[in-house]
Amino acid sequence: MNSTVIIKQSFIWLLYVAAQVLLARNFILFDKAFCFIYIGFILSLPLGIGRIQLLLLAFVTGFFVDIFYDSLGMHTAATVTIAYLRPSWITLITPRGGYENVDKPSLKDLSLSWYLTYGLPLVFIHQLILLFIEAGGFQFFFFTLWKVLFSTFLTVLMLIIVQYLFYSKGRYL
Amino acid sequence: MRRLFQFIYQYRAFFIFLLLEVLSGWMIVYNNHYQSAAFFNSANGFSGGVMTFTYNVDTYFSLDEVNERLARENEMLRNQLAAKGANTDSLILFTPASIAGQYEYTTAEVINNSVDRFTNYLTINKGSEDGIVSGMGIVNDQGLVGKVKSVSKNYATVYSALHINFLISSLIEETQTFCTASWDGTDPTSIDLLYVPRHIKVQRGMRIVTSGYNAVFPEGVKIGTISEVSIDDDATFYDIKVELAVDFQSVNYVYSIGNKLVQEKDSLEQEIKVINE
Repeated sequence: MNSTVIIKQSFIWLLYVAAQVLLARNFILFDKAFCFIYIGFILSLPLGIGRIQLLLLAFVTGFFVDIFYDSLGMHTAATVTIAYLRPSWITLITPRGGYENVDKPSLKDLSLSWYLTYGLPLVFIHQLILLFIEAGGFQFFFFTLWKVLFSTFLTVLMLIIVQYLFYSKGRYL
Repeated sequence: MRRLFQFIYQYRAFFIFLLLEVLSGWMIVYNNHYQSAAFFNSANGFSGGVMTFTYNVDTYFSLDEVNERLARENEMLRNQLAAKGANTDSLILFTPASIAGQYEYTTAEVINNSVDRFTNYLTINKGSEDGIVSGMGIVNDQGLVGKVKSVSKNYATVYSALHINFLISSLIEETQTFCTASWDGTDPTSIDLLYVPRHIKVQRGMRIVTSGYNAVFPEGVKIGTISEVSIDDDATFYDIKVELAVDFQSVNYVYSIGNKLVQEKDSLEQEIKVINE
C-alpha cells in the first residue's frame, strides 16, 4: 500500500465510523432492526489487501465502535470474524471472468447479484455473533434471531444505498 | 523447531485471527466483571465529548417536553413541602443528624441512551469531579433508572434497568413482600418480578418499589405497577410482569443518589460475613 491509498482509506474509515457513531447508532427500526453501517468499511477494502492488515483494521474498527456502544469486545469479535472470512469468501464466489480490472468489491465494478451474495452472508454472520454474544447465550433464541434477520436486511440495504451514492464508476472513493 | 516456526508462519493469518478473538473475548469478560474500568467506554473524555455534541443537537427538539416535565416535578415537590411544612420540627428532633442527610441528590443530563439492546446503558454528563462514584443509584422524577457502572472525570456510564444482568432488590408495597426485579431483554416498557412465593396474594395494579436493603437506592423509589400475574399449578413462584414507571425512551434529566452511610453499612455487613464464616 502506498501512502495515498493509506490516506484515502483513513479518510473512508473516518467517514464510516463517524456515520455509525453519529447517525446509525440512533437509527433503529421497529425496535429490532439495527444498522451497522461501519462494516461497510471492512467489506469495501481493496481486494489486494493482506489478510493480516485486514484483521488488524477490523480489530481497530470494532474496538472503536465498541467504545461508543459500551460493549467492549463484542463488535470487535464480530468484525474480526468477518474480516477473517472475507478473503476465502471472495475467492469462493469468483464471478465468470475472475476479478480482472476489479480493484475493490464494489457494486459498480461487479454486479448487484454478486454484491448481495458477497454482503448478505458476511453481514448475517456479523449480526449473529454480535447479537448472540450480547444476549449472553441462547435463552431468547428466536427473538434474537429475528433481531439478527431484521438487522441484516437493514444493514445490507444501507450498504447498497451507500454503494449507489458514493462508489459509482470513476468516482474517487 | 524450524518446522514449528514454518508452520506458524504459514498459518499466521489464522493465528492472528485466534489471538484477536481471544483478546476480544477477554475484553468482553473484563467489561462485564469490573465496574470501574472506565477508560474504554462511552464515559471517556473523547466519546463523551462526541456524544455531548450529538446530544446538544438532539436536545433542541425535546425542549418543550422536558420543560413541562420539570415544571410538573417542581409543582409536586412544592406540594410535598407544603404538606410537610407544619410538622417537620418533631422529625428533625428524633432523626440522628448523620441519617437526616443520608442521601444526596445530584442532577445530570443523559447524553446517550439505548433501549433496544439486551444490555442497555446510559451515559450521563457528570463524573468523578461532581462526586459520582461507581455503584450509585440513578433515578428520575418517574422512578428508578439504573446504577452507575463506571466513572471518568466528567462523564459516567450507567447500567439501565433494561440490562439483562441487572437485578433490583424490590418490594411489593401493599404486601411488603421482598422480591427481585430483572429485565428479560424483550420489551422496554416492562420488567419481570422474580421470587414472589405463591402464598402471597398478588393483584394487578400493585405498586413495586425499591426495598432499601442495599445501599444503592433509598427505600420506596418507584419501579412500576404490576400488569400481569400468572402462576403454573406446580410452580413455587409467580410469573409477574411489571409495567415500568419510567419511560426509558425519553429519559433526559436524572438524579444520582449518593449514600453517605454506604461505607458504614458495607463494613458492618462485611463484619457479619466474617463472623458467619
